[in-house]
Amino acid sequence: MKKLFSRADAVLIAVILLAAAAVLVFSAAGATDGEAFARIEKDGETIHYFRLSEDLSYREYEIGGDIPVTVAAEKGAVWFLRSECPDHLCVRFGKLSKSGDTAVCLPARVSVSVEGEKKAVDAVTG
Amino acid sequence: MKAAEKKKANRPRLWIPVMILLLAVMLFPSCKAAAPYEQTNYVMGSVMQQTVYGSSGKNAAAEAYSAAVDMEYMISWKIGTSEISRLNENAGKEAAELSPETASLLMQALDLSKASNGAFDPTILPLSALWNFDSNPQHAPEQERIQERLAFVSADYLKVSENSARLLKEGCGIDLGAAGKGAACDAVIEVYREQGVRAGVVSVGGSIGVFGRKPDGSDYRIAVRDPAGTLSDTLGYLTISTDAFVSTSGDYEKFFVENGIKYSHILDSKTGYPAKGEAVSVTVIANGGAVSDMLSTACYVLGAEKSRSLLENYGAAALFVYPDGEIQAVGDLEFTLTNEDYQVKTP
Repeated sequence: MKKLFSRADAVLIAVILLAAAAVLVFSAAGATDGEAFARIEKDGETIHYFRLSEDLSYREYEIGGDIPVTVAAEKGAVWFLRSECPDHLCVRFGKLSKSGDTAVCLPARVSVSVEGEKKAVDAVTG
Repeated sequence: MKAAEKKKANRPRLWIPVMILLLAVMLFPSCKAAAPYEQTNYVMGSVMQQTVYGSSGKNAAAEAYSAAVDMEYMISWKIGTSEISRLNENAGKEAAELSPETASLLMQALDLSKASNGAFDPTILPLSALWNFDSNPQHAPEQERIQERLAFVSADYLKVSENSARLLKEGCGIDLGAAGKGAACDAVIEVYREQGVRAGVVSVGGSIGVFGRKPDGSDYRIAVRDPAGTLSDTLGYLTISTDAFVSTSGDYEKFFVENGIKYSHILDSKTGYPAKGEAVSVTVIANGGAVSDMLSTACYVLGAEKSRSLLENYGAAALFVYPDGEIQAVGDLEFTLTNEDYQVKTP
């Protein structure tokens, strides 16, 4: 009777399956590492993008234009600190720290968002 | 068995590992879905955010943004060259030719106006222009002027065909402010469909459009803003598996206070004054963007009980949020409460 696998087949299959398992394990580990990044955009163009780590030291980003704004970041959070816009709604968003959090200064056309592997929410209505 | 045949039988069957290798190569990239393309733009005085899954994401997002801008330039009464401006200028005179998109939107608006008995009314412009919630400083208009303008507000004065529309009385005007952002979501999702993207989410202001299933198999979570909280506070989230549209109307979005009275921007076409909604916000989930937007205004004006049959007619559902912290679901929707200051009313 014919054998389904020769010894050589079996070895090769085992090697491929082991490699597959290794890739799966590593990609799964990468998906749950919880890294977050801050993105600051002006007119839809990214002007600052940085890792939002828990040990991030305090920093401010001055964003010029007709309506200047200042964005601050520290210890896993990013937020609108100051704005010369009329309503200061952007400052009222408070600190953003979860993936998917977004704050916008509409008059200055500046947006600040937190990005990560897994968003807490996909969009916000209201 | 001859020696040559025996040798052939003992040779490793290469096709088996080759097949497995091919399978592995094909499957591994999909184990970890590619990052979606994200884009932020500004349209209709609001932020437009897109998250698009699939290889054509970047092109689709760019085209979708220009579709939303085109929509604004067709339907905004504030843009002098728009189709709606032309229709308003010709009020009481002649019909204005319209693109199929604008005519279709006006048709939907007219239907919803009739179905909601005027709770949503596209002919509200004479009143909304008088109140002008975008002005600064803001004042409540005199009662006499409100009464004068009320005479020009009625969906009966609007006639729409497939490629034109007509306002029967001079002084009438169309304001699609309560439909525009939802209509922009409709236009964006249409682009996603045409471009063959795998899935996508768009928000234009507080109106959301969801297309397709997320590649990782998880459901979409659409957070609902806390009307009483900061701009980033939420009540919880709606769970959506695929194609749907969500819009919210509330008295906290745009308002002013004069002599201790709060005037919110959602006007009641029957009284000419801001609607005295029982709820502080109403979130509607429906199968169309413009429809969800218009329904959220209508349901805010009508209140939960009077909204039931309207929502049912449109196969929609809504979440009513009350000032005392109670949340009421009307129709079929999945909402998860995460804010401890609120409680969901059991039916």
